[in-house]
Amino acid sequence: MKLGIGLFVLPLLLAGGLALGVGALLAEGSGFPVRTEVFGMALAGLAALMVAALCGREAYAPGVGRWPALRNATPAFWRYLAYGCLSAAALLGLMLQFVWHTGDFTLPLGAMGVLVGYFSFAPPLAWYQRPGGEILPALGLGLLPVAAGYYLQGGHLISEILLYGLPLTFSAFNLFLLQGLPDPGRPSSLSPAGLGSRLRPVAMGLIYTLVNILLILALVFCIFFPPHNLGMRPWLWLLILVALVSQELIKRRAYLNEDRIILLIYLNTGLHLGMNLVFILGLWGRL
Amino acid sequence: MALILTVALLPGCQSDLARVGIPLAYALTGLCVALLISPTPVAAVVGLVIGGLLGAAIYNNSLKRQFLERPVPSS
Repeated sequence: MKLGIGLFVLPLLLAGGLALGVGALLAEGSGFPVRTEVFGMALAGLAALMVAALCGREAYAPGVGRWPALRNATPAFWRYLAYGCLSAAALLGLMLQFVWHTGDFTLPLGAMGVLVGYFSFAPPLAWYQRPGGEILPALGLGLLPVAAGYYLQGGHLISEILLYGLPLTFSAFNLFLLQGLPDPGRPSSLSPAGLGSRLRPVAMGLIYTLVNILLILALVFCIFFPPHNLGMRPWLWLLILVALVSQELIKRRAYLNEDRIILLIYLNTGLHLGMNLVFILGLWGRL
Repeated sequence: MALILTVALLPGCQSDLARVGIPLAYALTGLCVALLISPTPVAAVVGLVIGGLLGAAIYNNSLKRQFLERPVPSS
């Protein structure tokens, strides 16, 4: 069963933008006032990189995963659209680095965004075809936008970025792992691609469990050892509860039933977006 | 886990992160741009090397900027 593409694209764009906001608010809380124009340009650049990644999927791997291909244009159109988005992102990066003086790592951060986004589907890297290829796109929805959001405002990086970036990365990894699972009713519906379709279901469940435990530990760390009081403890406990419910579903072999896999995808999407929102509201309250 | 530990312990490292980080980051940028232009291993290596050299130049330039910004001690 294929999910509606809007159900994947919109949360994806929202998750990237919110993670960038987490980084910017962290910078504001650390004493670097947020420059609105820099944040706006960074948000536009991030959106361009994410749209380029989605265009890369339509051009090089249409229909891979659990969401249908957009069949209303040719691969060449999607390729040129991706190049257009990448050019726009490059222009914004150049302006940020050389006009707004955001620091020497601005362009490399954008290039990392291209490596983990556009090259997820585009050759020669095509991470989606490689075992463990979920890790890099997960960094692109977790650690990387949080670090970029902070760096563009503050001009350097601090270890607190890990506190918010790592749980987001773990949750994005599990989301991409679930997206790559083959339909249990039609095992041959997908060509071997990521971990989800290469491994046996039990091994996939084990990897999901390990990463989910890391996610829960990271959230527990946010509750008990924050550098500053985040002030959102009940909501963080709720997020841990959602992660535990997902874990219980995996324990009950939800990966053998298509409807339950989709339920797990919804739960993980909600968990990821919820985590972003809780971090943003907590950091906002700290200002 | 090794990656997480490395990243977590990196801020405590005594050596200057920018000296290694800037050339490495620009080498990756060069690799990325080269792969966009031509998706071949040769292009990747050329992009990596040119990016690394550009990064070294940018690091030197950032050092020069630091020297220029440093206030002159009064005698």
